[in-house]
Amino acid sequence: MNREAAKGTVLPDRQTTLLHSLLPHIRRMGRAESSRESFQEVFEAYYDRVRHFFLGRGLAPEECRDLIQETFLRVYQGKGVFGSTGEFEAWLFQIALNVYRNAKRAKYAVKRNVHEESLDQWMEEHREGVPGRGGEAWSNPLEQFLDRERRFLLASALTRLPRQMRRCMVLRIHHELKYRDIADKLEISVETVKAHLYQGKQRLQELLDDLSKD
Amino acid sequence: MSTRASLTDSLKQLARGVEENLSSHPRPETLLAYCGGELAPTESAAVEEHITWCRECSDILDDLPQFLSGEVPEADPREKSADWSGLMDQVNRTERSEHRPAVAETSSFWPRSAQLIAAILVLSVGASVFWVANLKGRLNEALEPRPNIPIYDLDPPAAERAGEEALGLELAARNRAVLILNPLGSVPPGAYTVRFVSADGVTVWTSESLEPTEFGNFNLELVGGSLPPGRYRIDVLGPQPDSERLVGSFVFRLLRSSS
Repeated sequence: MNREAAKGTVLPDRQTTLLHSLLPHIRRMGRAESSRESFQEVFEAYYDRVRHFFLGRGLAPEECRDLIQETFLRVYQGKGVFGSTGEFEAWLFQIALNVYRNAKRAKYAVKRNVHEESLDQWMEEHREGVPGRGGEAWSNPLEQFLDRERRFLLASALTRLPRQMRRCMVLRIHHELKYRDIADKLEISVETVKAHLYQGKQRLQELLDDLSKD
Repeated sequence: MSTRASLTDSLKQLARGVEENLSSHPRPETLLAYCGGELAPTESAAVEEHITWCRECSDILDDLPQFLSGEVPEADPREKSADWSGLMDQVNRTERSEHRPAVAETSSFWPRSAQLIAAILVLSVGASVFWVANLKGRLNEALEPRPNIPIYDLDPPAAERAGEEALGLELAARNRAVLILNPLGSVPPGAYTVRFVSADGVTVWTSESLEPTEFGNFNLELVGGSLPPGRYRIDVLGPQPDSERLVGSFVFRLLRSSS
């Protein structure tokens, strides 16, 4: 992760000039005698990165556009006063992330309600426990128990691995990252990643054997 | 299936389960501080542990340097222009609704009264005297003007800087206003403590059962006359049992009502 770039200290000349000239507009946006022209300057300058942020979350283009508008609407209504473009950009990021999380929560709430209705309806229709999603849970308690037991043992074993080894394993298996990407993320060499993955699996297997004997 | 393959599958399943059960995520300002190397070692380790399991936060953190530097692909200018127009429409609508005077709900008077009259006619055959009197009371109520309740959005003071005035509300006695408190970070479900603190640091009102809305913010209804004019801070803490964790502080000024 290029933290220097994140702080805005290493930028191409054109970008530096652009941001420097934006500061008066950002400041004017916060005043009552505003600021639609200033707001438009700010919108023009930051639209691409806000759009890129939402697209990066895997949202459909139309949904992205709704969230972009919501973000800038909050910027307009918020009208803070900032000492630097960096402060404003940090604030803009906070708004964008909150808008995204709010939208996701709202979507999840709708989905959950729909899901619960469907499951209730299903259970009503399958009161006798006909095999299906609900039926399987009722008719295979032993398998369910064994499944839970395996997950518990595995979780216990994972917590006993060294932190970096555990991170390597989860980044490989859960995030499905390549060795090079894991190495970059953890700031270690590819060889170290490979060693962690190999030893991690060995140790997990040993730990699982020990735990299941207890 | 070999032992090694089944271990991988089990790990995958476990990791997905852990991820699905994550109840909260680092606040945006925490991610910013982590990206800038400004967190204490324990806080940094906590973020690292979270992003190990949470693919979404991990991706957001990966995208953050690009967001801050602005080195991103350019959008189609026509799309940008269309979004600007849409945004201005929303801004105009919002500003118009803020200036709309309180009016009685007269536009629906005739349809509602027509329905009530029809109900009275249908049910008057065999209806009790008490029931008819009750409906007459409701008709009178429908004829009285009902002022719109104003709604105010409050953001934490991080969005306000020195020298900028906090939002001022003028609220006549017995009138109501809705305050929407918008915290910056994520808000896990649960019961939260809310405290109204006056300018001299005195807690004038508190409740321990405030619940967030589905949008991750909090709604409070303020009744005119319940607080004297002045500057107030609203602290939201929680969720229970952690009643000392500050979720957000929101400042506003209650102005002396002219009515």
